[in-house]
Amino acid sequence: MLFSKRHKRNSDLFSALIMLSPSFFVLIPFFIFPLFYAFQLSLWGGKRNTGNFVGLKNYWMVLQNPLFWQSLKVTIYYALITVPTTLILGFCIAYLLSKITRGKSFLRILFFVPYVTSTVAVAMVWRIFYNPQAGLFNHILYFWGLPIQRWLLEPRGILHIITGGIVPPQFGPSLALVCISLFDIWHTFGFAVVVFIAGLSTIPKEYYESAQIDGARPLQILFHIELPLLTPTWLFLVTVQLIRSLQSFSSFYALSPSGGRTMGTTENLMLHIYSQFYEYGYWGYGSAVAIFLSIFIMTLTFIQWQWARRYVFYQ
Amino acid sequence: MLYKKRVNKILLVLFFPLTILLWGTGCVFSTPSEFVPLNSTHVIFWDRQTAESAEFIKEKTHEFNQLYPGIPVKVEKAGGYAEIFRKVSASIQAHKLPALAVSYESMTSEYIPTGAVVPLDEYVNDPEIGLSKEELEDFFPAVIMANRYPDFDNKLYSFPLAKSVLVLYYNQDVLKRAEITEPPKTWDDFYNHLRMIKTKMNQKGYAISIDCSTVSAMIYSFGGKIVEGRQTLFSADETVHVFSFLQRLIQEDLAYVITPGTFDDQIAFAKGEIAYMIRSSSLRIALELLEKEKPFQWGIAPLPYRDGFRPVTVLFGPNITIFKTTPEQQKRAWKFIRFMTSKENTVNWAIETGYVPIRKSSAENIKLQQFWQEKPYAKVPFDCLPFAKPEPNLSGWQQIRDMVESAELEVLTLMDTPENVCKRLEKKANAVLNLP
Repeated sequence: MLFSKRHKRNSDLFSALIMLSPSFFVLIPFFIFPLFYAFQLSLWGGKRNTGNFVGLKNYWMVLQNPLFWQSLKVTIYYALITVPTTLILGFCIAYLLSKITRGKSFLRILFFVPYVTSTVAVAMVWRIFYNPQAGLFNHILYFWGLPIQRWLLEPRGILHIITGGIVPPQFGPSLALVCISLFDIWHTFGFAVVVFIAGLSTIPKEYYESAQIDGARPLQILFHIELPLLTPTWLFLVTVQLIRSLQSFSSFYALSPSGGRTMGTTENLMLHIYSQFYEYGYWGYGSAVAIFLSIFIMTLTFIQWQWARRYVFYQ
Repeated sequence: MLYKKRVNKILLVLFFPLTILLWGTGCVFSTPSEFVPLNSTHVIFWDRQTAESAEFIKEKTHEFNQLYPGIPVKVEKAGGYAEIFRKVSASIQAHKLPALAVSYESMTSEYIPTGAVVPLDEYVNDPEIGLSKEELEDFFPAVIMANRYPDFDNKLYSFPLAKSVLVLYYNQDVLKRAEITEPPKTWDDFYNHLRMIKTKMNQKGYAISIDCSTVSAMIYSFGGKIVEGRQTLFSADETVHVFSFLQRLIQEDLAYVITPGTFDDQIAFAKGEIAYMIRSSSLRIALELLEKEKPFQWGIAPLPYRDGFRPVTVLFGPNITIFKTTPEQQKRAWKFIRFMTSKENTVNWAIETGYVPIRKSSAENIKLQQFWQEKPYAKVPFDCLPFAKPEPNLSGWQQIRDMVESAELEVLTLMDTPENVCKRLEKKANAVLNLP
């Protein structure tokens, strides 16, 4: 009897491991191994792995380095701007698309096109739009009689510019960072639209019919049926978008002016890791920042999932 | 027994392929121990020069290949300095290198710790292919000193190629209109001139180009130092003075900042919209071209200095670095450097490109003397060489350059006081220099 139970348990374990092995093939060499390798690198000093074993000194240097804190601030600002805006915009468009009957497919493709286009290629086009001398956006401002801006080259805070100098220039995200965020919102909201449309289409028709019989108005349907039933979709999108925004690299790399031209206000953590690791050759320090970023993302995701337990409704 | 077999089976099925994969991935990360040349049939030289300078280097390379048979040197345009830095860094990681590349001192100091750079002392002192004592003393001391790296036993890891100094360009037409008779000697004169231009012509007299080398030169000219050992001195009074001076020019509407990365100041200068521009002496050629399009009177003066101090400027411009490839390629690369920096080529280089001749004996060259007679302003950068100082070449300086430009921008956009900016700059820069 005992042998049979154990036999069954081993058999189940064997099947489970066999089923999981394909994902291990991807996870271990491409995610777990690099993570451990990065940790190993972070324990060494010098440039390009030429120094001595320094233990956890690189982690201490990260915490002491003002550039790390500056880039963490930029990363947080970026996430705070892009995640809510992308999701709210994506939901609004998806909601409107779900209510129309004609041209739905065309519009869905139209909104999805930026998402499937190469980030660097479209970023180059936006860079031309943002050009302070001959860019489209300054032409528009000029046409409307508004003061022209330096866009991607403007390190002063957006609130300082909007309030005409009342808010100190160091406060809040810089105009340059807002420009990169706007580009990212345009580039990714199509994904949110498609996922929200899919979520809306899974809501059973009976709920709508019952609500209509009870005389519910569209806003009541939205707030009492659609939004609560879409919470799993929101959770998925918030998680994905948050991780994506914290790890954003291409838009920053393509749009940030080189050198100190925006006073570090467009250097997020990924760009900081890249420049320290590849440009300046501090493999140990760069890896330590990467480990910090991983821990930061994991902690945020964990908090998010804990929070979601209370507020996410499943049908 | 059956249980053990099962477990072994599981381990075999699951971990064997993973072990193979990890082993494979490990191969990607392991690096070969020796550097090899990018091209075994040519000595590859990664250059950035454009227009006249590129043409000159191409022509001289052809001449070198004709005169000295051996593995041919091939010049490849590898983009701007930032791009060359990235490409060389990637090549170092791949252990496959060009024989030569142009590089600033701050770039070379990043390459040296990897062991990819060839120290040149051995070649310089070689009785057969090296330089004699007289020949070595013919170079201005500053241009050689700039290529010795205190962080790395003071060895010569690069050799000067296209050197220039920071100078003050002045538009004679604007000065005349403002009733200014001669360019400023001191920073006080400079400030007074800008005020005169503002009062008499109601225009800004100076366009500021945000640039680390300009800040370094200004710190020197205010009597300051930039580093001491591996600590920066950005919060010292002299640096605060420099930033305060620049901020004052903006606050009093005497100067403006050009869009970074552009040459808007040149255009404004040629149009007579500004009187002064502080730039590299190599810009001479560009101004001569603008002058041809629409004639205007202009000149070059040494960088102003602080009252009571001696004139000083910063020496900059790229050097050549030899990378570890093969002994034959390295030897050939050194011979090429020696050829490019010969007395004759130094003079021709100066005349045709706007860079300064790096040998003292150039002043005796008749061809150069004639050239200076025709264009007296072209002699000013050469006269600045005896008091030109190189910028720090510590490992990590490349990153600090960006920080200095950030700080300058912060001051010029009136975002904070020079004192606070300087304190933060010093903290950030020291953090970089103290990385393990």
